[in-house]
Amino acid sequence: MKNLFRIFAFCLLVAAVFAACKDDETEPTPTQTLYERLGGIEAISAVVDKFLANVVADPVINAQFAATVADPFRTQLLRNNLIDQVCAGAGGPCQYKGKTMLEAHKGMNITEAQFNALVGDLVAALDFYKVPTKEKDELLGILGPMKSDIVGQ
Amino acid sequence: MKKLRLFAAAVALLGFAGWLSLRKPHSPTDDLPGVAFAAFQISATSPAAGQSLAAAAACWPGVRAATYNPASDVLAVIFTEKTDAPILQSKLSEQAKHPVPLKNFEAPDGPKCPVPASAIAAAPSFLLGVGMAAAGLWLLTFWPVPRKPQPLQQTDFQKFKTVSFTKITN
Repeated sequence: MKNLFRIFAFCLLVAAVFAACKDDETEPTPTQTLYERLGGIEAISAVVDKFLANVVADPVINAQFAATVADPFRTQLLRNNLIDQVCAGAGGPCQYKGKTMLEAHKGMNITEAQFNALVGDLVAALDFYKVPTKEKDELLGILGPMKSDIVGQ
Repeated sequence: MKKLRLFAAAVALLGFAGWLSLRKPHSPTDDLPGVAFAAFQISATSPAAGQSLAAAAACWPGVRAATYNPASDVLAVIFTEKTDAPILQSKLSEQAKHPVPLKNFEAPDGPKCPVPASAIAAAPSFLLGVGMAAAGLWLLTFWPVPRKPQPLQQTDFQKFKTVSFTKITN
């Protein structure tokens, strides 16, 4: 009985020593997601709205959006899908509910020049709201790989 | 009644199953105010004049974003329900000091879906409505149906009373 008590006391001591020696600094500090750094849903929706205004005024690509501009429901759908896509890609709480990029652009024959014009309009919107270079590059890095699903489909 | 109950249950099940398969998860984007586009051919005297017009339009109530592109001479505006295209057009005409027409884009050729996109998007809500209505009907089939009032019949006690009274009087 005495031995059992000693073993128990020893275990307690070892546990106490380990608990005291635990290095709190090694715990990963919570880092802000790109979504948070961009400013949340309000900031993303402001950037997307500016981006869409840029697209509608852009003579290289605005013809592709003619049917969308004419239909308020499709306008809303496109805008919400874009916000969801950026928000979800940046680690936000949104869920993209639209078609895949491949499905959405099938048969549209988007050229490289049109894709570059679209990216230019997005960069202009990000610059308009003075989004820092780091966040801008991260966001373009998320959207960049979609190019192969958009161009030439 | 049994047939109606079965029919209502089947329709309710189909409605709810359809709604579950088509419904989309809620996203914070769904809570954002709705927007619409308008594009104007502004015939600006210079790119700077067009840019200043866009900057002015961006500050008007209900305008989310405004962009002027000198290459197309188009001013594109995205606005909420607080304003509309005719109001924006009159304000722009006033600001530009000449009539500003709406820009009509030529729709690209190609096959178009005959069903409006709004009808497709409304399908889950429609199925939910059908399911709820059928479920309500199914519940109603369990409601007790009021019976027609029966004509009063002589109870055994009344019979006994009548018989006893006749006996006594005899």
